[in-house]
Amino acid sequence: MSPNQSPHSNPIDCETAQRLIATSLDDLLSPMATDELSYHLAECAACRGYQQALSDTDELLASFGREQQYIANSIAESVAAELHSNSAVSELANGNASSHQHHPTRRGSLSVLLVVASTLMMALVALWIAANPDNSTEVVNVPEAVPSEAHETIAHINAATGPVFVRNDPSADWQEVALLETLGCSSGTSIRTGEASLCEVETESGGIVRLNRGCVVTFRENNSVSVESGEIYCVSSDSMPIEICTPSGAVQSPAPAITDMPIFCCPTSSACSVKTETSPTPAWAEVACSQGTVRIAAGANESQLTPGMSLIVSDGEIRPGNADDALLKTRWYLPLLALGRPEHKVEVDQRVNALLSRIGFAKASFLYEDQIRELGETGAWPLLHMLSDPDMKQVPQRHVAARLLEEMATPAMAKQLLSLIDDSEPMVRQSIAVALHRLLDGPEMFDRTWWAGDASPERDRVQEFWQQKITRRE
Amino acid sequence: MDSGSEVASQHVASLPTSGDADAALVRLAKNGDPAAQSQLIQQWSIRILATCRAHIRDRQAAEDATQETLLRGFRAIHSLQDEMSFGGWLRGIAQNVCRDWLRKQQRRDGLIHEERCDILTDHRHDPAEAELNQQEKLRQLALAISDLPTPQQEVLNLFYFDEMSYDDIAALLQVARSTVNTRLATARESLRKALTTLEREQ
Repeated sequence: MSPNQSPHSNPIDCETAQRLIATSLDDLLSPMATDELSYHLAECAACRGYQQALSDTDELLASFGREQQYIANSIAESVAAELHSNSAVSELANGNASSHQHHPTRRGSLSVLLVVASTLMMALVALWIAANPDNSTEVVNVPEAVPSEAHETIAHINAATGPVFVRNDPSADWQEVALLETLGCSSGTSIRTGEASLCEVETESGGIVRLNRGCVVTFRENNSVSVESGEIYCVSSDSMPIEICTPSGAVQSPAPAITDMPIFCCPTSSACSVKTETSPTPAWAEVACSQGTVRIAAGANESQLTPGMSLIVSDGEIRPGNADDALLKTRWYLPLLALGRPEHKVEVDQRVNALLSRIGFAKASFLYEDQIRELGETGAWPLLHMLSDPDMKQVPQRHVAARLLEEMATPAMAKQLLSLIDDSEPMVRQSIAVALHRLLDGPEMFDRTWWAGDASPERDRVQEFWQQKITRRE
Repeated sequence: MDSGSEVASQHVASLPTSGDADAALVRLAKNGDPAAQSQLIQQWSIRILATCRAHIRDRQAAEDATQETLLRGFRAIHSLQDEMSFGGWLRGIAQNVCRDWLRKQQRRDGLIHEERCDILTDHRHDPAEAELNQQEKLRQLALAISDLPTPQQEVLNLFYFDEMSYDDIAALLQVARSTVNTRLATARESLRKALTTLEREQ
């Protein structure tokens, strides 16, 4: 008790009260001190103001701390990925017969590949295209001597963003495919994408192979695909692995003996990307795992990759790959997702969520933000769903989603956007208002800061205008 | 997280106290267990970020220093003698990494105040959104924190980034609990003043 205070008036002075307020932030006050402080606060406006300011600072610090946790998580992920990729390499650097003992099945799959590959050397396989008489565009020639029924279809093209070429014989000319949906690939069919086009191929077992620009691949039986040049992304189904190899000296020069070919196995429910480069010499291939476990065999070396890891294979040697994360490494196929095919919906949702979680917390946030923009309208829907989700409470991500919708929202979203105009976050409200202003073309009197604070007559008038426009359109 | 991490978690779950659990995890990590390493990295990244941000004003550089510290630490973890002292040992590496960075920065620019410019540039924003919203407040808070003395910043960061207790912070920094208390209270009070002044100026 302060000596100059009477026990019947305020028992503590302001200095003591403020010290107790500071302590109370961490719930460390005794019951007696709590009572004294309550009594003082009831009578002292200055200390109530102090308490409010200190508690605001504490809340702001907690919120700042949460942001830092995101950053720390992102750093932890990349450190773990780098450490583990290095340890995988050092394991390989010590590679010897014992490493083979850890993967007894690896030899088996290699044998399968050898049989397939040697069969391929001898047999030239035809490509079958169902000609559509109503379409005047050029279609692939079907060699008359080889009836299409003789060749089992092992894959088909799902989608493409531009010209795609096929051939059934390495010495034949490439033919442009006009009707993707009718193209069935049989064993030995090669597919090439144009300089500006991407394409997606689905194998009969449900595996997906995406081809980057200027890529050449050949499909074989047993879900095997060889990358002649360029970059692919593979997702195996949950029932059948995909085996990827890089023949024709694409990775080693001079061309390796067939037993030394690097092979990447994408087991069931795994995903990886494989990129081959012929310059600078010696040529190399980089494989990055984004899901499940991917196995590599190159010469006498073998390794396993887990998500986030990437290795480069060159001249039978294996070394660490580039440290970019999977979202950056697979950015190239976004235009395929932007086509808006229904089977990609879940993937687009997951992708946008993963990208959002990195924006603001990763070093190159703008790269992730640009990726969402590249998805166009397809990417705008997950953003809108996320904002409408009552369980989604992460403030920084909601801010980014709303800001992206300012430019990405489409007219079909107007009604749902209007339902979010009273969001609890001022920044979200403002972005939604800007999006609606753009989509509904007006009214002339508009200022985004009207949505920064409480409701106002101006704000009500504009919202009424939007509501009428949407109703008329319906 | 892969199944390996689950194995590491099981190791830890069966142990009696958190201190022993940490030491057990460090032992596994020293033996090259990738799941244990991942778990330790996850656990310590936030604390090392707290230390690095207290030493280096430039946000980006502090994040780089955190990454560098974790990489250096986990590559050299086999050389750690006493598993119980892992935290202090890793924090020592962080302090060295930060000191190296500051030395290089001083040689490069000659002027410390440029770091301040980095922070300001980093947080530049659209003037149309200049009202005192949450993001704006966070920007001002980051600036105000960077003006605090390093020991106060480190306590503040450990407390708010990782929600560490007074006792754990005292153990990590090897100071008395009352020192942690005083540093935290002083830091909060300075921030309250700084933010109140800024709010009045708006």
